[in-house]
Order: sequence, then structure tokens, then C-alpha cells
Amino acid sequence: MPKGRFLGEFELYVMGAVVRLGGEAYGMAISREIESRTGRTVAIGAVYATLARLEDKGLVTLTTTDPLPVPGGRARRLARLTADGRRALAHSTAMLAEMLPAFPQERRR
Amino acid sequence: MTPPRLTRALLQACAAPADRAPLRAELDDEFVRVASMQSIAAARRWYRRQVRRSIAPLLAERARSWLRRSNRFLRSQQWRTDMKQGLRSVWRHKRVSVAVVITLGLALGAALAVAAVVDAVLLRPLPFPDPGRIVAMWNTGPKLPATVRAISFQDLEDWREMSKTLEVASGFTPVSATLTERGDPRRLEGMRVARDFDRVLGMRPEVGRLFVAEDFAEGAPDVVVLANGFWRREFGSRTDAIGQALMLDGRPWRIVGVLADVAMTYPTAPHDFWRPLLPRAGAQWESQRATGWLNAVGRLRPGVSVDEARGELSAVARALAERYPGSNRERQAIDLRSLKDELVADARAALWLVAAAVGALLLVAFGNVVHLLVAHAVVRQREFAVRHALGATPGRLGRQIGIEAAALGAAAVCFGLVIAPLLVEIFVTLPANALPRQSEIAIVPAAMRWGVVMLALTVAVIAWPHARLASRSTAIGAASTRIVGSRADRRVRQALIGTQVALSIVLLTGGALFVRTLIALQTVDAGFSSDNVLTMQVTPSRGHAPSAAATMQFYGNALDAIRAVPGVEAAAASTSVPYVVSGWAFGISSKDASGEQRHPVRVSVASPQHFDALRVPIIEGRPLSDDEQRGGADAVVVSRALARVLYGSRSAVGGTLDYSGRTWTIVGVVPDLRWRLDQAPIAEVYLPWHNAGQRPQAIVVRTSGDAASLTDLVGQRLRAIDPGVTIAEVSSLRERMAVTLAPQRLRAALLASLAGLAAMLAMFGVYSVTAFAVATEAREQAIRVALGETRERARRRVVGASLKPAMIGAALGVAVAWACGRFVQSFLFEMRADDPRLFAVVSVALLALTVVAAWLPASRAARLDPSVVLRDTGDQV
Repeated sequence: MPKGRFLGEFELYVMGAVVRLGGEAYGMAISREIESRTGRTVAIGAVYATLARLEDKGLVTLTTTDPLPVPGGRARRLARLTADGRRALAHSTAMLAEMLPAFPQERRR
Repeated sequence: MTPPRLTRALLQACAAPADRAPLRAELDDEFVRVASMQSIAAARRWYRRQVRRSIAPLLAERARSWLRRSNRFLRSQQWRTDMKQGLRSVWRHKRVSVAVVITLGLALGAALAVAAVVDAVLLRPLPFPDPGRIVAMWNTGPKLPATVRAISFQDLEDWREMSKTLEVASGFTPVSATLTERGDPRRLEGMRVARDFDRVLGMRPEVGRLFVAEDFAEGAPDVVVLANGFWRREFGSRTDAIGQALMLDGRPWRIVGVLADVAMTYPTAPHDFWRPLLPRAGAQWESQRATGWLNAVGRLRPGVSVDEARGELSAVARALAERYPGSNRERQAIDLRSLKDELVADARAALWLVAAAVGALLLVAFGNVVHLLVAHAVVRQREFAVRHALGATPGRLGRQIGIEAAALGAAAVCFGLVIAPLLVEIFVTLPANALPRQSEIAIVPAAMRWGVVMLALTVAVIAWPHARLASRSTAIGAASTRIVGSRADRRVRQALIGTQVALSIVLLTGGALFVRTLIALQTVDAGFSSDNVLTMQVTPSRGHAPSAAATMQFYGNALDAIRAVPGVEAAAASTSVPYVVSGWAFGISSKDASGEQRHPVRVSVASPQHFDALRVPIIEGRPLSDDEQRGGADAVVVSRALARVLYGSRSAVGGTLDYSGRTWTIVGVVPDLRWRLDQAPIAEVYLPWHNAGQRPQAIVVRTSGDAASLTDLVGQRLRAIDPGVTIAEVSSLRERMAVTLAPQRLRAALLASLAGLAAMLAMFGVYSVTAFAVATEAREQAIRVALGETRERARRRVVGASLKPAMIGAALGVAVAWACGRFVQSFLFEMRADDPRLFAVVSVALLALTVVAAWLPASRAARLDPSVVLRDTGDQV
């Protein structure tokens, strides 16, 4: 695994959210997903910046959709993981699990 | 129901271009949602918070991505190709490249040199600690002459005592002394400095100590502090100089310290030593409150402004005027000025003028280069279009243009950096009176400070025409398309010619005025002849001048010996000789319709042959007889100005003059002598020689041939009489007069050369603009010729097209020069800045040159063979 493929914490969150959201992964949805799952408030700019970085690393692809078929609907920038992205996510989570001692799980909700 | 506009705009500015639209859309949608669920105010708060927290990550990501991209580019081979391509292109277009480099290099070199001078003289603070607090001070009053700065010792003591705004105050006066017992006797220049002078300047000793209070006590031993340069020269920086005695004027002065090395020597030009200043018993005027003889300087307390100090010190002056009405009645106020302003005041206006001229020159040069490159870019349009068609992206083309521009700009700046030191060298080696703070002028700090700015400016100027064209050609994108200069381009070219001619006219009139002033000053009638006159200051050793009689005997013998030298026509000694030694002056009053007036009168105690040596004619009466010269009668010769003050239009011969407690009979009148070429002469009186007493005198020798060739012979004769004699400042009178014109010569040379350079560049501009027009309009021209236009008419039309904007520019230039006239008037000597004849001559000359510059390409246009041009498929531009 080349250097630089380790993912930062926030990158992991964003990638996780992209996976969870499937075909609906756009900025505000990702931001809401992270907020609801981690309780951490997220600025949309941070999501955009992170997506741009991940795209640059070749882990996600960003596509601009056609405007939504509703009145006033607008184009969105959708994210989805690439094959590399999936591998990197799997790798990072595996490494994390490997490294960390077993804590009692803190249950939320 | 819209989000806060400013906040939204801010976010847009921070986001990467691709993110802008979706980011805005998403935030706007969410804003509406929040607003409908909560309230508009809450939505706004939410929006602001989102933006606030988004700015940093967005900007950071953009910076990171930029770095990543440039890093990737640098690691790829592409940049090498681009670099190669750019440099190859610079090389391929050699003629244009050389023209750009030379044009810009000359202008940048001149600009850099002037920047170095302005930087050192006007902008940089004095090289003393906290220099803003150092001030020069002097008395003012409605009846005091504005130029007199000297104050009395007693006044200085009282200012020091009474002022609260001054931290320390001190004073100085220059002094010369003869150094003996260290090789040949030499004259040294020094300063007598009052208590605390070192504290005013913040000077420290290099070794030893500076003066302390005891050195200024009555009867204190003679001590001296050496200037750093003198110590290095004379003692080779050896610290054991401390404690040694220096024989000055036959008395031992113990060396107690050496001044630290400071970039600037103050007061005045290089001097050798400091001596403690106290009124001397032998010099009566130094103990009188009435006589001003010191230059006062002070250091303000921290936080005190010059205005506050002026107010407070003026109150001090009024108190002193009340207490000592006899001496201080007219000294109503005290003025002060920061030392830097006082030192550079005279040079300031002139230097800014030169800086403005350099600015104009840069404009002309930049204008030229822009046009040259626009023309060149049009020519290269096909190249860009082809490369674009072959797949070069606009970014790639832009990068190559940038590399080309940077290479040309760097070459131009390098060229400028090569010539700038040569120009700066001229400034540094100028006579000391041409410019203050000369020793501080250096190219390196100025180049560091201004060179980068100039390089950036240059690269921008070079890159702009190409970049504009590259973007245009990619927009068109087809190799076959040709943009012949549009109407707007033609306008721009005409404006360019007009501006260049206008700027050149302004500079040329300025240069012409300064050169004429210099010529007028050099040819002004000084009242005496300076050709073939050798002058020197001669001081006998103590052994030969124990008394007034012995001193006079020495000078008498010296003159006899010099007169015996073959080639000497006349020789004289005097306490005051124009441009050599200034002697002293007193004041007389005259009454006329406008009330009482004071006139300064210069006193000259001169030997026989004084008027012969200087070729000053006696215009009325006779010179002093030998008997009168020896003191047989109190007779004097006066200058015409003095005769007029005393006796108006009546004859002064046979009249009397009161001076120094005696009444003198006037026996002759001589013309007024100019002691400064740019100022009106002042009144003079010539006393019989025996009144010179023990004062040192200057010797004036008129020779039949070259004056300088007799220097050694005259020196030998003097040493034969007194082996310990000090002979100083030996030079021809002509040289000494020339040196006083150094500021004027500097201004004239600078402005004239800048003006010449600007005019040359402007003419080159006219040539290239016309040549380009001819080249791009070849087809049009060919059609005209085919339809029957004669060569003569074609030529006239082309020249006219360039001459018209030049004429408009000339008119504009004359208007600007006329408006600027009042700024230069004070630099001019007996002439007006708005002389219409000068404007006419300069404009006609420049327009004639314009015709010549346009004529060459015009002839080429006229020679075009229409059958060749029209058959051409249009590949050539």
C-alpha cells in the first residue's frame, strides 16, 4: 500500500457516509448523515473540500447530475466510491480494528 | 427569502470553481428548509455558521490542490519541454528579443540607479540611533536673514538650560589644524564639538572614550578624538594610538578615543578629528552673545514633536530677547527641523524631479515594448493557432508565454543590473557638494528593495500582449484565420506614438532648460578671470610666525620667491579669495525709501598684485599704494556694490567708510565679484595688507601658461623659505569654480541624458509602429497603388498617419511642460521655464525626427510591387 493511502478520520466518515447513502450521496446529505450518526456538527464546506481531496486521490468520483425533476430542482454533485476507494476503506477499517484494543462498545441510540 | 448575500458571495469566492454552483444550490435549498421549519432568523444564523466554518477547509483544499498540481507538473517532463520551447522561441525571435532586452534594460538600469540614490539620500533614515529625534536648530526673526544658521555659545548654553523638550543639545563648528611630526606637515579638517555632541548623534567610541564633562572645563588638558577613517589611515587601526599625542598647530593633543565607524560622516564631509569646543580666549567673538558662530543640534525627548519643541524653544528665545535686548532683540524665535530634512532639503526637489523623469522614461520604454510585442504576437498568431490545433491547451500556451516573458524580463533586469552600478558610480564619485549623503549610496540594498518590483512589472508588461493574443487565437482556433490590426488596435498605436512624443517633449524641455542654466552659469561674468590661476592655502609653521610682523614677513618673502618663478605673471596673498577662502564679513546699514536695510560686507585683506592676479580692473580711482599697503594711511578699495550702498550714484572715491572703530578713506572702486555663480555678488571692501596680522592666507598665482604645471615649483620655493609650511588645497581657480557647479552639472547631465534616451526610444517607437502598420496593411497599400496612387503620395500618407498623433502628442507635451514649469523655475538661472521659443525648438526638432523615423518604413511601403503582394496567398503578414 503506497504512502498517502491512509485515510484521515474525517475522510473515513465521509467515505462511510457515501457508502451508506448509495446513489444519494451529495454534500448536504453526507453532512446530515455524519451529523446524525456521530453527533458531530459538520460544515458543508468541509465535506466539499474532503470530497475534492478524495477525488484527487482517485477514491471517489464526482458527477454532476441533471437537475431534479421537480419545480426549482437543481443539479447536484453526486459522489460514489471507486474500486480503489472501496479497497482503501476496507483496508483502513481493518487496520484500525487490528490496532485498537477491544473497548466495551459505547452504544448510541 | 434569500440567504445573506455578502456571506454567500464570500463562500463562492472561497470555493473551487467546480464546486461553486452545487454548493450554492445545496446551501440555498437547506436554507429554505430550515427557514420553513424554524424561522428566517434561525435560517440566517444557520447559514452564517455554515459559511464561517466552511471557509478554512475550502481554502486549505484549494491551496493543497494547487500545490499538488504544480508538484505533479514539476515532476513531469512537460515543464522541461515548455521551458525548452519558451527559450527556443526567445532565441528564434532574436531581433525582437534583443530590442526588448536593450530597451527595457536601459530604462531599468537608469531607474534602478536613480532608485538607489533616492533610497539612500531621501528615504533611508540617517545611520544614527533613533535618528528621527535629532534636530538642527537656529534663531529666526523678522529681521534676521533666513539663511543664517549660526548661533552664539551663550545662547546654546541657555537653550540647553531652559528647554524641557530637548533631551540634549549641543553644537559644533569646523576647524582646520596643521598636523606635524608625522611625515610632511599636512592640514587636517576637524570639528570643535560642544558638550554632549556624541549623545545628540548617539555616537559610540570604537576604542577609548569620547569626551566627558571634565574635557570641557576651563583649563582642561588638550584632548582629541579621532574619526574612524583617519585612525585607520594614519594609525592602521592600532589601539595603541590611544594615549599618544597628536601635534596640531604645534601643540600636543592627547588622543583619548576613536569614533565608531558610521556609514555617514556628520557634520560635513569627511573630517579627521573632534576637539572639545569652548570659547577661545584669543577669539573675542566666541565669547560674545551677539555673534553667532556655532551650528546647534539637539535630540528631542521621546514623544516630543518638532512643532512642540519649536513652540517651547521660541518661548525660550523670547525670554532671552527680553533678558539681553542688546544682542538678542532680533532673535524672536527658534526654528528647528529634523536633521535629515536639513541635510537633504536642497537635493530633495531635484532628486524627485529626476525620479519623475526616470518614471517617464520607464513609461516610454514599457510602451515601446508592449507595442513591439503586440506587433510580434500578431505575427506569431499563426504559430499559436497551429499549436492549439495540434492539441496544446490554453494553459500550456499560457505557460510557455510566461516562460518566454520571464526569460526576457530576467535578461532585461540583468542588463539593467549591469548598467545601474556604472550609473551609481557616477553619483558616488561626484564632488562632495553635489549631493548630500553620497557615501551611503549603494546599489545592492536598493536593488533588493526595488529590483523585485521592477522584475514583476517587467514580466507583466512582456507577458500581457502575448497572453491576450494567445487567448484570442485559441478562441478562433483556426490556422487560416488572420487578425489584421483592428481599428481599436490602430487607436492604441496612435495613442502610443502621441504619449511617447509628449513624454519626450516634457523631458527634452526640462533637459534643455537645465543644460542652458549650466551653460549660463559657466559663462556668467564673475568679475574676475579664473584662467591660468593657481590657488593654495598657505600656513607658515609656528617657528616662522611667532608674531604678526614675522607672519607678514613670511608671506612677503613667499610672494617674492613665487614671483621669481619663470612663467609667473603675478602673485598675491589674501585672507579671502573667491572659491578658495571666504574670510569674514560685517554689516552696514543704509537708509532708503523702504526704510533701514542691512547689507553684509565681505572683508578682504589683500597684498599688492591681488587685482592683477585675478585680472580685476580698477573702474574708478586707483589701487592702494605701497605706503598704504604697509599701513601708512587708512585707505581702502571698495566694490561697486559697496560704493552704491554708501554713496548711491555719486562717486565714492574720496569718501569714507567706518569699520572696526576706524574711518577709512576710499581711494578706488573695483567691479563686484561673484562668490557664488548662481547668486548676486555681495559688497566687498579691500583693506591694506598689513592688517592681515597672523591670519592664515591664500596665495593666488597668475601664470602665463597652464597653472597646474607650476604646482611643484611653487611648493619647492615655499618650502625653501619654511620647511614646515603647510600647503593645502592646491588647485586651479577654474577647477574650484567648476566644483561649485556640481549640483547644477549633475541635474543637467541626468535630465539631458534621460531626455535623450527617452527621445531615442520614442523615435524607435514611431519607427516600429509605422513599420508594423505598413506590414499589416500591405494588401490595402497594394490595391491603392494598383488603382493609381503615386509613390510620393503613398509615402506622404504613411508618414502623415504617424505624424498626426505625434503632433497631438507634441501639443500635449508642451502643455504639460508649461504646467510643470513652476516646479523647475527655482533651479534655473536667469531664464524662464515657460520660454515659448524653447517649446517651439524642441517640438519642431522632435517632429522632424518623427518624420525621419516614419520615412524609412514609408519608403518601403511605396516601393511595394502590387502584383507580387496581391498574388500572394496571404501567408505572410
